Amino acid sequence: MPEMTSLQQRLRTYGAAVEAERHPVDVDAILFGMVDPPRRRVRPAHRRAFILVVALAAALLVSALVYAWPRSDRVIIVPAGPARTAPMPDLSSATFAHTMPDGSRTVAAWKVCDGGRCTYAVWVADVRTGRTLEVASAMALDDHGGVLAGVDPELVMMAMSSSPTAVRVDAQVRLDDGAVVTDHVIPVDGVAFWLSSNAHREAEGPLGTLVASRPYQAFDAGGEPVY
Amino acid sequence: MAGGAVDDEQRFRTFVRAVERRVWLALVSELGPDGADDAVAQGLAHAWQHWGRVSAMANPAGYVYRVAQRAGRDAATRRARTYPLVSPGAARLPDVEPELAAALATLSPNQRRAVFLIEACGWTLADAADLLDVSVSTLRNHVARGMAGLRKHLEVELDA
Repeated sequence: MPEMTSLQQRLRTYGAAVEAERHPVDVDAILFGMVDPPRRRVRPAHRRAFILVVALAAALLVSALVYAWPRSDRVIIVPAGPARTAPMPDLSSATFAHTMPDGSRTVAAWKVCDGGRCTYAVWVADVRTGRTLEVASAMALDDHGGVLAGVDPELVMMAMSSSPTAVRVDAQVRLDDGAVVTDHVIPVDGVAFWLSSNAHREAEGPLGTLVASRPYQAFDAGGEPVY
Repeated sequence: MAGGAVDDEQRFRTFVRAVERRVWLALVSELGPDGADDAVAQGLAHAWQHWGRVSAMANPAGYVYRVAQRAGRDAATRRARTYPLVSPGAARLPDVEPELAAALATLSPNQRRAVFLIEACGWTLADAADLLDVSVSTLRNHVARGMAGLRKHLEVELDA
């Protein structure tokens, strides 16, 4: 056995002095319920570890589901079932949103008509950050490609006034990496419309085409929510 | 049925005899003698309340230590109280280095507990690691750092 150092010897003396302060437990008092157990529950170490592992696995599963889920379902506030294909002529305003097939951004569009004139708004958000992206320019076009209205620079989100004859709204969006893509909003009968896109990076070609969108907010002529 | 209860009581008494000193020593550096007394009693009361489950555990002493430690910390928080490392009675003993308690108080709780159990009480690393539910290497590290801290505080250069 190695010889103890003086510090160890001093510590041993100290330890003995401290232990002399100990009062043995009164087992009978415990058995007769005269000692209150602590109120808080302490789980054994292996169970604590198990709970931590389960919690971690649950968190991973949830995050995996969130990221693996179709992105359109993530951004629509109130999923309204299958994509609406029928026109909704009774609506006075509606908001639609869809996430681009490449997952880069969500395009939302809003339309309200009043007295034969309609106002369109288009805004685009980065899916990952939720930040609204800059709409560099936007136009409402007739079926010959004629410009009916352009960007209203006074509004944060791009808004335009147009006649109901507009067949397409093009919005040029500047992405975070500096690329500019063009998103299209295609009105259908009445107030309802599709978001559609032949979005493309100007240098890289098409990124994909949206075929459907879902409404997440729509109101009838009385202002009552339809969804 | 009554026989089973008597057996349980007997087994619990045996368990208390086996663990109470160890748990107390593991707690005293953090809670002080009075706090450790109360905490050990509470931890064992909890063990008796859940004896069927606790007695089946792989490391019931470690579990009681954890329960008692939590109870002692809660009590200290409730009473806004800090426990002295050693009572004035023990500190007055002529053999005890007067500066030692103050030097131990400068260590982190983990280092103080490790130094106290290994160096002051003479436990093996394995025994202490088992009760505290930490690895031997972690404990060895705490001891080494704690002893270095003590030497520095006590200005012990040639420790022989």
